[in-house]
Amino acid sequence: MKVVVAFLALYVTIALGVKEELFKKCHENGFCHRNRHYGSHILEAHDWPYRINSTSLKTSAETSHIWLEILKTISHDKEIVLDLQLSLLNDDNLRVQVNERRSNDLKGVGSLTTHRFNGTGNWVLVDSVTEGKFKSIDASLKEKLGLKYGKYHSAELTYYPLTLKVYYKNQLQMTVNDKKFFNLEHYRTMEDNDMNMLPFELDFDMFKDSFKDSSKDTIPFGPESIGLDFTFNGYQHVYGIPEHADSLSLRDTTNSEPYRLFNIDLFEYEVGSTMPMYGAIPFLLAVKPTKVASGLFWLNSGDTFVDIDKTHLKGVSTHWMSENGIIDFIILVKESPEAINKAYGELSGFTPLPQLFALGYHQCRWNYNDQEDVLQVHENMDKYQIPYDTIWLDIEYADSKKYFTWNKKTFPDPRKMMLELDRTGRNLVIIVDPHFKTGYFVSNELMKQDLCVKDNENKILKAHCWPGESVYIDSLNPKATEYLTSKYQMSSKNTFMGGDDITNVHLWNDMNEPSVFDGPETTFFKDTIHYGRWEHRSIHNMYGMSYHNATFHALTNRLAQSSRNRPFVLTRSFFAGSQRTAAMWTGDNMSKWEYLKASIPMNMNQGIAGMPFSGSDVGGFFGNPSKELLTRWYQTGIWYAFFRAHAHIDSRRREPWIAGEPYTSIIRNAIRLRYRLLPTIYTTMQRTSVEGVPFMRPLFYSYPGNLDTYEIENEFYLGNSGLLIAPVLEEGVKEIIIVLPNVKEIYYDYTNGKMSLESYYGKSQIIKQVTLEDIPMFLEGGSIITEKQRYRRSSKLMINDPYTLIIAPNHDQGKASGQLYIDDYETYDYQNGKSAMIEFEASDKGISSTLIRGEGEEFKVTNHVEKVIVLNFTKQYDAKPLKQVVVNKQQVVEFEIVHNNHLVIKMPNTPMSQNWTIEYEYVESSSLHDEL
Amino acid sequence: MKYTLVVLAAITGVCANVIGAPPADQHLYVPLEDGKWRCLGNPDVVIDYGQINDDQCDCPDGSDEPGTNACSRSGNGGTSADLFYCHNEGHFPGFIERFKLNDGVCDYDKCCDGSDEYKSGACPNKCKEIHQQFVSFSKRLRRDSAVALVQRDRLIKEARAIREKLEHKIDKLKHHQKVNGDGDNGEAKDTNDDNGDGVRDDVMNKIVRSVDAVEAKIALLESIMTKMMDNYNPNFNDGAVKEAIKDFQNYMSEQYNDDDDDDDESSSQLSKLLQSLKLSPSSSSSKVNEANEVNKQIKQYQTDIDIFTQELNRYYGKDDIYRALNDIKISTDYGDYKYKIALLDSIHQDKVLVGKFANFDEHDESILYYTNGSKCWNGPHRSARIILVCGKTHEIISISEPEKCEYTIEMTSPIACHELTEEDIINRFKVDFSQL
Repeated sequence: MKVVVAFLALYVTIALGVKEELFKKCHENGFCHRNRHYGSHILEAHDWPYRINSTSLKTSAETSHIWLEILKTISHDKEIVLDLQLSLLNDDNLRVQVNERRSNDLKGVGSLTTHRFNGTGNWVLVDSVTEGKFKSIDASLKEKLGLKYGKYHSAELTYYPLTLKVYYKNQLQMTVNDKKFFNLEHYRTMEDNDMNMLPFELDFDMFKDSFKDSSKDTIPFGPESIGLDFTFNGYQHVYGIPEHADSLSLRDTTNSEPYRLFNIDLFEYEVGSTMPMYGAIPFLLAVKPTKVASGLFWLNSGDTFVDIDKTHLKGVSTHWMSENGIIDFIILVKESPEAINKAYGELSGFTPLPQLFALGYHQCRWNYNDQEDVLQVHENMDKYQIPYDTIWLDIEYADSKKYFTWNKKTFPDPRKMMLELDRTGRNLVIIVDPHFKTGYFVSNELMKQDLCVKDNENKILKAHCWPGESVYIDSLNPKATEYLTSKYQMSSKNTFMGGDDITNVHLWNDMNEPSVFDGPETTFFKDTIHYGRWEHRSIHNMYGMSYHNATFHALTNRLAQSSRNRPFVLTRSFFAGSQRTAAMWTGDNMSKWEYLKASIPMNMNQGIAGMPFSGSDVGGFFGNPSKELLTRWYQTGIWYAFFRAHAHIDSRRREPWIAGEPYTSIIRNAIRLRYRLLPTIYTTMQRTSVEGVPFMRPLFYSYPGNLDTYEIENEFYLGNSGLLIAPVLEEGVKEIIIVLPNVKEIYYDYTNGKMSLESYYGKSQIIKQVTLEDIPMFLEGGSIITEKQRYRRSSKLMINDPYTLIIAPNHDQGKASGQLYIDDYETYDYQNGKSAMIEFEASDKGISSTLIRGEGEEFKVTNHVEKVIVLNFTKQYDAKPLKQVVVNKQQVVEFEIVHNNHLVIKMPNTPMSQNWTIEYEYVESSSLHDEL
Repeated sequence: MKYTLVVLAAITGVCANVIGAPPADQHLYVPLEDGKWRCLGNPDVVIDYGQINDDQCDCPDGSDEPGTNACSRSGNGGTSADLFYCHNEGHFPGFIERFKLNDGVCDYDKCCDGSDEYKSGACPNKCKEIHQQFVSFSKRLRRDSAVALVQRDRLIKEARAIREKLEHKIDKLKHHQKVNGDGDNGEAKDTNDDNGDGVRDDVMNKIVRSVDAVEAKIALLESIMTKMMDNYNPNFNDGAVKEAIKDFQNYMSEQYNDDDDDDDESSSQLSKLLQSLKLSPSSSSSKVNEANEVNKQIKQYQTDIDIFTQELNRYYGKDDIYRALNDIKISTDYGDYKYKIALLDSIHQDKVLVGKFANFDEHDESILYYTNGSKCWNGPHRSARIILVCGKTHEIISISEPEKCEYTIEMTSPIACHELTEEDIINRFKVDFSQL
């Protein structure tokens, strides 16, 4: 019999939102608390503990290195000696390193490597980095050292108080240790700690951890933190240091939590927070309107906090604090933010050009339940004529979440599925995380081959993640890459990857912060031990990168002999350098408007910090988006470099056709717009791969002179294509305000990729009426973009389709230019010159197309131009009416003036493989007279 | 219908040979006297005849490009139904969407002759192989269908037999009722027993008290569990905790599930309880008892008649055929679950109710809908539809969850069989690409 439940009033609510109490705040984190305390007390000090021993100066014979001793005075009879090294990377980037002298024999540290971890730079910097020479070293003065380097750079190192000033064209850009926050906690034992403390220092949590979840941390080396402040002289805005769900321009943190860089699985993260997230790039960009920009690259992979102080007139001041490791940073000063990106890429690497499919639409869900489900979604995409390139499998494909196995009940024939996807150019991405369930062949092999992460007693660490108890691969060990290589090998026996002829399967690394369900702050204890006898504390922020690097190399090996050999790897955790081997996404966001909005500054900061191949889950991971939100998210998501829809297992299905009309058609239009613009998008990615420019490009990149652009985070450019996008990010709005960054240029309304009657000039902002269909887009005067306007099922099937050019003449002279990059979209042959860059130039006289081949093997361009559109043709070139249009000086072609204004030229299938011209012949003014 | 076009074309005997246009439409692609041509859907737009299939989209309706994808525009808002005609000699002529032309994919399911890739010629003619596949498919299908149709006839007979049996039963009951009713002495109706009241109140009070106590305990347990559900750390993958939370969430969903009918049901439960107290044996005379017995018997006959009549009148599809499936229960392991299907009753996934049979699809009775399954946590009530396709036996082909908590089950059944037309076979035929 059923009992009448009177307690019906009990209402079920789901607790959403981050469990903040699980994560350390600065005051709960020994080193952060101590450094902030140090900073607030050193300001009142009359003398400072650190100074340079001027007699210690040494330089290398070729003047590429400078060595000095820093003396840390504890008391009148106690001094600690630190080693300072100055060097130049790639000519004009100043690197500063400070280390302490440590004995090889320290008490109570077991078998751990005793010296401070100095390997971050080795993981991050690329092999091609060269060491530069100082142009001059002036040691003539006792109190300071003068340095000249690069074309416009100079620096001044003052011995006491210890400061370093960096100048560009004789203008002060940065002052290091301006506030005297320089701090290096040298080695001491608990017993002799009293004799090693400075009077104003705090001893909070030097030898223990009072945070509940991490109180078992043995902290074998005691306090070893480092801290340093940098003032960006004359700068009001700083950017970068992802990953945070926060504003584009970093905010003042003097009375709040500092930005923290500590890779964690931050469950249900909140927006507008300085809390750490899945990845960390300790790179900060400062920009000011006077044709100069500065970058600071803090090479430390440990737990790090950054305080931003915007309260001084001098400029933004930043305080960097890391738990351990050496002080190691690089100062970049250049003429523009773009130049900083390029220099940063030359140091830490660029994003390699991905296969074209990776820039197409990715359809993901946790989970597509079975093989039938995958193929049903696949078929529906074609049924609803929505282009897509890749379908994804989350953790449920595997038998009991044991990666490298398939659940045979739900996926009886993965190979068949892969082949069916391949038939229409589609790809499959499968997830393989770094934790491996105990008790099956992979974890057994890892244990047997000594490739697991160890606990603080040097025993194999067993902790919990998706599959339950698991071991974690120690991907810092080079042998781990070899192991993964064997697992992904191109072999007929490799049934996991479908056999020896499957080349359309790529990989996804998730949970690689690492995420540990039963660990402190959802990750490893900091005294966990890695290859090289290093504490996890030293390398934490690089663990995720070490894993996706290994995956990338393994997949590279698998595909090496195939005709589609550029691998694709997606990672959730990342560090500086991750851009070389993986794309990233912003993790587990929510189906709410504020997350849609936050995705833009988050992805822009990824680009600023040199990892522009990024995106956010379209639709939001947790929850169920309204149809309007889903639609708006697609309209925004098509502009992420990595464009993927994803959803949590408990959320309702939301593939594009489920919303129904009019939403499905609007979403289809958005996705088709992405595909239509793929030529421009691929060209943008190619520029990114050699120049490091952001894919979602902040407005201030183009107009650093216009301070009003510095905080715009709801608009952006598509790379340097000249396409300005202002997606609708709010519910139910009928109009939006759009900032136009340059009042001296024309902005052609190109909303939804359609020619419009509207164009704007001389307005710094406009109000635009919008409907649900609208993606507000503008072409900036002076630009030319390329499109492929015909719908195909996938990007691979578009390869032979013809191009359409959209020309937006600039205001002053009616000129425009643009580029189109083409290669085979799949292989590395472009590295041997098999590529083409086509340069377009337009003016009132006509248009020219010039093909520049890569050096080396010849690349055959087989495409045609089918159409050329010149926006505002009549308005721009209004002097004379157009009589005829001549292609290649011989062929008169059909043209049409649309909206009384735009010129549309139907091209006679002009081959792109050769240079071509279009000439306008106007009705001569004299003949006009005659007619009159 | 499509195949009659070939015949038509043969009759009209056109001279144009425009690639992509079916024979029946070739006559539309004849130039005007001045060498011009009018767009089919926009006759006011006149173009040069040479602009047909020149890979430039000139007509707003796309009729100038039957043989290219030039008019398969990206931004047209809807899907395109513009088709290209494939001759498919040796098989059946086919039509393919123009956006599939010359894209490097051999879409043999539509164009077995590979003519969709006419530019590269990269797709050799496979009509022979595909027609072979079709012939053996067709043979198999016809053979199976013949067997299945026999099964279907059997089911219809069974249904009829069941129906007759029911009718017979009802007649019999009606007869009994009549016989018994004639002997009724009319005194039996007065069965009130005043002595029962005190006992009843006592029992009722006890029940109410115990219900109160149970409710209080449940409320306490629920508040403990709710606190845990709201505050547990989802990142700590303690299997036991996670499972308990999940079960509790399901339990809570079930509670709200029942809300709607709780009051009714419970009050009817209580009234039944009262009823049973009223009817409980007391100190009354045996004569009264006897009368009660007779009365009860008559009531029982009526109840049975009602039940059987209701069953007789229940809708079992147009030809009553589903009546034969009332007792069919199918149970199968699919994916990680065991599914139990009682076709006209309910579907279970392990122990979870996926849905109760609600109705047939109004246009197609081989589609059955099931609703009001247990509530998904944080989601809707589970529901399902079963699609029956022709087959000899009752077997599950596939189970999918195209929308969260909404299942689609494909199942074979002789019920879905009917005499096959050529078109049916063609529609059901799928090219096996792995055999090409």
